[in-house]
Amino acid sequence: MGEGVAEAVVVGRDVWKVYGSGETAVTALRGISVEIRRGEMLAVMGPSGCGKTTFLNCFSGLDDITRGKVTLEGTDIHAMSDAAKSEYRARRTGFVFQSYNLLPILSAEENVELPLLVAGRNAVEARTRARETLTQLGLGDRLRHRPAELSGGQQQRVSLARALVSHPAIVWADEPTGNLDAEGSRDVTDLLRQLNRQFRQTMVVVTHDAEVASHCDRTLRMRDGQFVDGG
Amino acid sequence: MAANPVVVLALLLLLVVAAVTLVLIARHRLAFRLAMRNVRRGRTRTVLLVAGLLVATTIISGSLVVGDTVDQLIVHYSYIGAGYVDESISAPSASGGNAFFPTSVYSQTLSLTSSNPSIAGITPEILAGAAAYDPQSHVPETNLNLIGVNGNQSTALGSFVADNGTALAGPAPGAVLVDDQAASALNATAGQTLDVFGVSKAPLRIEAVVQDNDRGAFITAGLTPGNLFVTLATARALENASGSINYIAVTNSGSQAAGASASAGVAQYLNTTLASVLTPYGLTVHTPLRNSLNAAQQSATSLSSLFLALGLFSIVAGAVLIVGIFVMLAEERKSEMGMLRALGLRRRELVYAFLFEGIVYSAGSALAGTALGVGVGYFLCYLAGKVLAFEIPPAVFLQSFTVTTQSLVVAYVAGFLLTLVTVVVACYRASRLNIVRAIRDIPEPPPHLRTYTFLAYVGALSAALGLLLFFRTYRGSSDLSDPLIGGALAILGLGLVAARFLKNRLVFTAVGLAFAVWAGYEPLHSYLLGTGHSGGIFVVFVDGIILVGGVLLVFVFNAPAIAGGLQRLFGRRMASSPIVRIGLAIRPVSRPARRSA
Repeated sequence: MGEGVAEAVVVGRDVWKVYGSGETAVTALRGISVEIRRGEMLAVMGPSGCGKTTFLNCFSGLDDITRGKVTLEGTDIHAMSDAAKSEYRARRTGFVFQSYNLLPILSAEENVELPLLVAGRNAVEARTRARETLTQLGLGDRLRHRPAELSGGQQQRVSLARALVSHPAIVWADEPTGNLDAEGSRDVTDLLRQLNRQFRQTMVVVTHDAEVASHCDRTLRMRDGQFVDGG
Repeated sequence: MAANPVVVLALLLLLVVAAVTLVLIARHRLAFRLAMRNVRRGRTRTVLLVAGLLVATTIISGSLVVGDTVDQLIVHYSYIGAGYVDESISAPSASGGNAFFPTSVYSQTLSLTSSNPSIAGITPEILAGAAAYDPQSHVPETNLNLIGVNGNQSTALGSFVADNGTALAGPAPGAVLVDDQAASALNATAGQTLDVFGVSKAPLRIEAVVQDNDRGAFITAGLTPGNLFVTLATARALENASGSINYIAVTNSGSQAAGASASAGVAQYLNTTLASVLTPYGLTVHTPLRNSLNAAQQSATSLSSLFLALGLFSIVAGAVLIVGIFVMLAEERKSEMGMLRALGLRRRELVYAFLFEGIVYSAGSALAGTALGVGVGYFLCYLAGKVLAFEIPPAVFLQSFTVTTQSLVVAYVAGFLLTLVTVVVACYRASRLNIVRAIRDIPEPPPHLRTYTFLAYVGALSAALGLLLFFRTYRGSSDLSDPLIGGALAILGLGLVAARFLKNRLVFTAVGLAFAVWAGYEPLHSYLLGTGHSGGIFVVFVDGIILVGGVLLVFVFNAPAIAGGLQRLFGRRMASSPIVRIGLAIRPVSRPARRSA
């Protein structure tokens, strides 16, 4: 590997995803191949129903694929057992979703420390790092607030903090600005870019917002389950 | 005091569950923390959950309490009826009643057993049937007990207590003591003369009307018909049995309970010591109090089992409700659970989180159910008292209301374990979620057509077996449950076949209605099955299960319509309140379709 060319962290080869079977079968991914390098911030764009979210789910290991192969940091994610996949997700990946998906029964800091506790980290260390991360994201005065007590933008920041607190190798973000207004959207996009540069984490951002995509290193466009401008 | 083995076993089970739970909590702290957070989610909600979960425990607890009370009631009457007679010596006569034998048998018995400290007293008696006529009130009573006993013979049987409170050692010569029951039947009072008929007749002055305590209510237990106590001499004259008796009462040392406990040993001693005295007259030693207490225990166990069997289908329905409640909880938190799985929480941890929460609810609901069951038991005893008022005074029924530690412990442990097992099943089901569908809160896809085809084959087999059972048993004298089960299997089987081709809601609503009619419409039974079948408590159980199953099916497959009806009746707020949602917990959850790619 030459200087300046990072290793491929996410590699997909001829990946197919078909929902259902027979006459009602829906092909969501049609033989997708792609490589995403360490530290890269990639945007995946396309119209509704083109397969963006399916791409994220299948490549991150959240959902099974019908055919093909996906390796994350050199490991075939779909060949792993359920427990091994869980372990990998806990230690090496972070997720940001459009609807935040914070646990309503937990405070902001408890939500953020959750991935560390799931990964088996010490409770004190988890709490300290959760507070540091939230403070870094400008929520130092909202540590004990429940999600319902936070604005949409703040909730998405908590969600970002949760995705980043364990310093994962890959962050998968599905429409992270989908529920935010223009200001909140810009705020979160800037934050993603800043953190990507600061920690050199690979970020895969599924979005339909060209403004968000413009902040990324590379943009892939999808249509009918395929990349239209190369993988 | 020896520990009750049932209580010990139940507590041991509870300890094992507690120990395993503590180990699991220590090893899965995050799951425990999440569970506790969810328990504290909302007080009203937790209370309603516990209320929904306590049905089964309440039924178990109520049944056991009824058993305790009946046990206590029968024991109460056993003690009164046996008085202080722990063992008796008698022989049946050819004409019924007891055969007479020489009074010398009593003398020898007294002499041979005088050194035994377990025996407090031995009393010669005559027991016979008698009739009486009250010349003043002109009331006859033909179904009385004549008891000949001398007041100065033995103090072991205790004293009579007259209605005015005076203690009496026994009847005076030429007089009769009449117990409350007999006095009531004859409308007799102290001081008047009564014509008493044994084998011969004698006019006797009523010395006193005595209370139906454990002396006056000997044999009758104060129920029916009534006792006339006279001296041995008077009884001999009435029965033409000069120099004879027909009953020897043996009283053990200590209280009635202690005497009953020692009864088997004393009876064995009497049989051994008195063999040469008793054998020539065909006399045998009996243990009336012990036998009566054993019968009491059996009756109580039978009645408790009856109530438990009657409640079994409610327990089954309760278990279905528990599964429904946990499925509803899982459905409600589907998105959160999906997110936790996305963060790397293992499926096992998710099961533990649910399990710990379930343990808290199970422990709480079992406690509440046990307590509520005591109330239900009291209510049942109250009703039983009303129903049996002609036989037993209702007040006596309620005075006997008893709750034993054993029943409370068994009800709690049984209810807790039943709820816990059901919760474990529900937890396992809840953990089998698809992460993506869960996060996005979209419904699971319907079962594949292959599944319905497989179920149709199972249905065809079920229908064939059901019809075979029905046609082999519908006419005849077999247990009624056989054709009932056959019919239900046939209905279910045909439903499963139909579900391969028609909509589930239509098919299973029809199956549910058919179940309800099949089990609940008695004229249909009479018309199709005749009246020659035998049947016991199992028939009630089978009938109940089919009926409840039918109603549940109708409810489950029409819950959205029911919820809609409630909404129209009470408004959206009421229909979406926790109490209505938990009430509708046994329904399949409908969710909006997949929203985007």
